[in-house]
Amino acid sequence: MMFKNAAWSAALPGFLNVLKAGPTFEGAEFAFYYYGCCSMRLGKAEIARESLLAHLELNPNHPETFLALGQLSVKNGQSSEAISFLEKAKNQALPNNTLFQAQVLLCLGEAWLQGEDLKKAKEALELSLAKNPQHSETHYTLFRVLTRLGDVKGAERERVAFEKLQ
Amino acid sequence: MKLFLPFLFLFVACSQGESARPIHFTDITAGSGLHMKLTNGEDPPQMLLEVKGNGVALIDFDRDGDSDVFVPNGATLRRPGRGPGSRLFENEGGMRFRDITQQAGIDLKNWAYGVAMGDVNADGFDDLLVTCYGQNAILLNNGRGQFDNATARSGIRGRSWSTGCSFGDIDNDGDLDLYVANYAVLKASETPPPTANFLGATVMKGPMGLPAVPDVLYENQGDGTFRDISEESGIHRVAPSYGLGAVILDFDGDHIPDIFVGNDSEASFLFKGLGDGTFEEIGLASGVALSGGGAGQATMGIAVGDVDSNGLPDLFTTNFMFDTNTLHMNLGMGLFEDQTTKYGLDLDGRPYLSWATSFFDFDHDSDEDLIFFNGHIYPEETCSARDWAYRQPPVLYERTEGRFERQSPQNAGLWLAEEHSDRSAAFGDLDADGDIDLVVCERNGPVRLLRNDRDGGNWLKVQINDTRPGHDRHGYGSRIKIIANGKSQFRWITSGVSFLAASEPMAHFGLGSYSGPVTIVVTLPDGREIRTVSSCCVLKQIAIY
Repeated sequence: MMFKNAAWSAALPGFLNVLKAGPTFEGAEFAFYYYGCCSMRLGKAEIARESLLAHLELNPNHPETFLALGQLSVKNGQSSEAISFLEKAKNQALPNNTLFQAQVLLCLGEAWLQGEDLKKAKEALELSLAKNPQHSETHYTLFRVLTRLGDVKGAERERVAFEKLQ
Repeated sequence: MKLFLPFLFLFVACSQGESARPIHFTDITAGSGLHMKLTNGEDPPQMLLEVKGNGVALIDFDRDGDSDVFVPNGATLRRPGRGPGSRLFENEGGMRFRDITQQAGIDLKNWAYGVAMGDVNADGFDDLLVTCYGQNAILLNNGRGQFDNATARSGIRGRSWSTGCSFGDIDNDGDLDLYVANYAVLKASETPPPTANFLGATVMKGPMGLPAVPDVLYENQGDGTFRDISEESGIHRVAPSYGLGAVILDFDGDHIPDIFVGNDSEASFLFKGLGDGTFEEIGLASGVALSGGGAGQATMGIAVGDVDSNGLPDLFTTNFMFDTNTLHMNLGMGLFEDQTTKYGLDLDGRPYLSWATSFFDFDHDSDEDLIFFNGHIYPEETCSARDWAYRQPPVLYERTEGRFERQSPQNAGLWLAEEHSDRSAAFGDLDADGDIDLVVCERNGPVRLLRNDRDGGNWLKVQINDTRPGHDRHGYGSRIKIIANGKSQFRWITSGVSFLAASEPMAHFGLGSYSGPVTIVVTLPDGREIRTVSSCCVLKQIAIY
């Protein structure tokens, strides 16, 4: 509940208690994932990374964990590593979970943008919008990429779309 | 076009030293004479009026060559117009200060917030503009060690709540114009104080939901009096927002001053100067209005630097807890790009609620480091219940190859581990040893003096002294470029950066172990250029005519 309410600091002790207690119930290993996500939101990069990698040890095909690791790498300015995690998240994503796929593609777009590969960033963001056309952040990120590419018309289109969704 | 030196004096000083070592500061407040406890509402705070703190200005009011310290002071909700008063401390040298408020004729009891420093009437002596809850104030330096409160005849209005402010020459006529950021309509007497919900906690309301107050742009009429030109300049074409800070500077390199305005929780403004006295707001199109994810941010503090050495001013802004502080890189042609993550500046800032900030080469290794000061706004009890830190330590980064690396108290000094409710900071070489010292203001706390203990590394300071009649002598808005050891470095003489503060109006450069000649290129706000070469790296000050 606290995690859902974005009360990340308050949520940490609960997840820590689960981790200390060990695998006492089915799905307890997800505490690593949530602990990692909270730590990322709180700026604790190392702990976040360790927790998320620990979760992958127990649950190696969990696409959300690959996404979180990709997000963490982007926040750390490590675009190559981010792309590697995000490609795995993309490959592991369930075919019918289009919103998740869109989220992964948005993060991929950010990673390519950070790595200055603007064409690949554009491609990922356009794919993301195809799956979730109402996502304002994706429109804004595509606006940034198209601006950098000198596509004035396209950038304007995305900016207008972003503003409409505000 | 070159402008030669009868019109300008460049004071250049440089010292010889060893190669740079890690950044280190020491808190030397005790025994410095810079003793003042600030008043910013009561605890626990109930209204936003009580949480913004107050600024600080470095001003060489007596022109003896060192910076004195002016501290605007706040008040309380019970007596919002009658606080304990702002104060002026004279720098006696050797990091010793003396309270001369009374002697200087300063009697300002308004609830003061921000401050800008500059010679508004071009009489050769620096004056002060103080923003307040209620009437803003202008204190004119009479050159005989005293300040006259000239508000009534100045044309400076504002009876709401003003915060940040910036001097700059928006019309290239030489004198100092003024931008005043206004915040929100809030009555100190409102009972019970309005509340809102933040992540499940009942907290003070605002700024969202409070009526915003339009900012004001003033034109200096040449004699130190001002005229409100907000309407005719186009500033009022935008919907008002919750302004916290402003910087007047040419951001796009067209030699026409622009204005960046940081707004709380909403998009920042970038007013592009059109060259005919009017401005067009282009924040969103330029990419500087929002974070990279398209979010409006709190935008408390503003730092101007040149992170990628492309000669264009980049912007670093400080924000609310769980958000990132944001580095907007200036790509040229009026475009900015959020590159916070690329430079390693995302995650460290997330636990903190950040305020004053600045780029400076604290260790003289030829690149600009970065600092920001922190402290929460919600009552200590509310923070504790949610495991949010109420008092927070400053965060210091040293610039390394391609990134900023956070520094530890083990290397940089114990001051970096101490938790405070900091708000404002001003930056300058207070002991004239060539490095940058700090004066920090803590909400409802003491003023602190942090001495830079730099050990080695050559340096260069450039200060403009424009003696043309009717001109701003500091050259606010000027770009200073130096070329040393084959490397170019850029700085800007700015007003309005940090948070509610005024730092020394000079450009400071670290040179590492380089001790050869340095080429200096000054570009004035109107585009005119002055070049000179300094045979620096000796401990002397050179006047260039």
